[in-house]
Amino acid sequence: MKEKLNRIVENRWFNRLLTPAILVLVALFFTVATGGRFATPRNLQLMIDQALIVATVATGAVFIFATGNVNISMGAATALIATIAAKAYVATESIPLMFVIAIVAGAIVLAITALLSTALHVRVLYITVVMMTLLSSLQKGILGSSTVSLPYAVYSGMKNAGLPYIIFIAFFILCLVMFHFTSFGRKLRYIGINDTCAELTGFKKSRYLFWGFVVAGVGVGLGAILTIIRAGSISTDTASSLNMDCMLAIVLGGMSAFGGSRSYTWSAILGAVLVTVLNTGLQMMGVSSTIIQAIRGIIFIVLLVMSQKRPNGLPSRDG
Amino acid sequence: MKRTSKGVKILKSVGIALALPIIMYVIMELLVYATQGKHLFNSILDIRNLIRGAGISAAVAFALSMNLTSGRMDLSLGAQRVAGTILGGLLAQVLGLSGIWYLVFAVIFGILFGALVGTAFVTLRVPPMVLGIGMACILECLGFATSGGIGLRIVGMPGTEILSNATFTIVVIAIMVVFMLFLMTYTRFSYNFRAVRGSQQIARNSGINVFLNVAICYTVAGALVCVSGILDSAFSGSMNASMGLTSNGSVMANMFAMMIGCTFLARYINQAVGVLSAAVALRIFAMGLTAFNVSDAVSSCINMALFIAFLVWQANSNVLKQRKYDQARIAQAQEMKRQRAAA
Repeated sequence: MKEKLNRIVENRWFNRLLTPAILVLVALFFTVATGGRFATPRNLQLMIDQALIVATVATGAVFIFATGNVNISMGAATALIATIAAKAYVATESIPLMFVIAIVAGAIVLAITALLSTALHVRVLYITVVMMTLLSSLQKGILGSSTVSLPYAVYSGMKNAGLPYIIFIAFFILCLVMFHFTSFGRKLRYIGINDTCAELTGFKKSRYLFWGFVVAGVGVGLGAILTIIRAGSISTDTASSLNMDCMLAIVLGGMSAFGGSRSYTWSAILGAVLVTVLNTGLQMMGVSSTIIQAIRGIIFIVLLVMSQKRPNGLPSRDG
Repeated sequence: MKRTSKGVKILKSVGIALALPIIMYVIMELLVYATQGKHLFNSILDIRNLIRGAGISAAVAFALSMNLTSGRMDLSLGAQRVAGTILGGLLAQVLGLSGIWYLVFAVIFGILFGALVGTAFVTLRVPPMVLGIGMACILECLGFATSGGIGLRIVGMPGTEILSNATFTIVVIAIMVVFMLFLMTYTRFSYNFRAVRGSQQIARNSGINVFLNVAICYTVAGALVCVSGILDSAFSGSMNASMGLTSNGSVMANMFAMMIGCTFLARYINQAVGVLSAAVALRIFAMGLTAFNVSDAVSSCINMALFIAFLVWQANSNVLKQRKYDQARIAQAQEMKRQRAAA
């Protein structure tokens, strides 16, 4: 019986179809429970808009998670980059410059994290925790108690032009191709399966880890731009739950928490949509935000356990 | 003869344990006096703040050391701290009990939450960092919902004065250090703990119950963070109920003390004493920064930058030594090759 269950859990189609099936069931449940209010076009549009930021950052984060590493500083990095980019716009009033600064700064911040690990041999586990606190403090240091705001015409103009969708689709297609159809993505997954074995086959693990972090950094930069477009202003509370939402999205999306061969870029989208559907649906049913967090936690753990075979020993990888 | 050498050893250990805080004090005192024209400690209140701050920091650092030194990052520690402190404090308030019971109930809840997370980890066997996020979501909700979002308010509650008493704080810290010293030095648990840290597979093959050992680590960590939670809420007058994984900030801020104590000072002195020494030194450093009127955000940036420098130094301290050794070995091998070719 146990073996049979393990075989089902290990089946790749089970993993690929579990989250979409849950997503459909949850959406149907909320549609019925809210008397159809959940499935109105306006509500669906709002949910997609909400999921875009998480999906963008999480798509980049897949490149780190696939290697078996966990980065918990993605939310803090996004908040800091959004602050820098918004300040850059206020100083120059140039949208292209804001975009370039966000993407380059995102890539640099994550590249520093990677270099500390790959070139200076500090464990990723320690580095991400320290970076999370450092980046968050940096943002607080830059902002203090103030808020950086963009003119309404600027951010609503970008929103109305459909820029968030264009940014996300372009980044997702790029990541999809890189991760699933190039040797770069294959090697990242290989590192996640067995890093020692991967290195013994002749490719430099540190180099691929570095570029994986850089791609995630680009995702952080784009996520920061989407945050600016959506909110129009940046404060110390910006993206405070993004880190948790990203990790939730990746795991709920059907990706293995250990990385490796069961890593998919589309997990980020599926997970982000599922997280948003859960939040919105439960809120529409009148559940308090406190209880919603607990429900998210329980579903997170249940799906985490359901989506992978339990190892005989305790997980020995960092984190 | 033996007694003398043991005495010297103890004196040496005491000297090393005191060295870091004293060096830090001298540096900060000189800097503060030179730039601000005042002393680092100006009243007995400053000393009390040092004791409380160091005690809170040491308790969290001890808790982190239970799992982090074995490569397990428990992201639910902050939530355990908040939920345990709030629930323990509220229970004591409801029962109309005095201050010390706040601590007792908080520790009991800490043990329960720690055991819950530990049992979940050894049963589900998912990466601890990922499991920690899920458990933190649940525990934060528990603390928030139980207190109606208010958290624990200690200010003005009858019988709670003892919790902010400096002597009481010193006694609690002393008990905690002695407990950790004994637990991590003289027990079978510590022997098994080190074996599991070395190699899970070998430890299991030698008959150690790895799962039980790890579950105990989580349980002890849960109790320790709740000790820090009660000391902290007595110090600041309240413990706020946090949501959205924000509870982890206070725990992560004390990781530096844990790293200095467990990876550097532990080479020369007992780990428990090392952690306390590091916590005191870092608290003096923080008080020095406060004397310069540095904001919390900048202070945190400086701390984290120093932490990164420490981690880099730790990870590369033996690289030069190893490089020299490797070069000597290569030269030796080349010399042997040359001699063989000549023969």
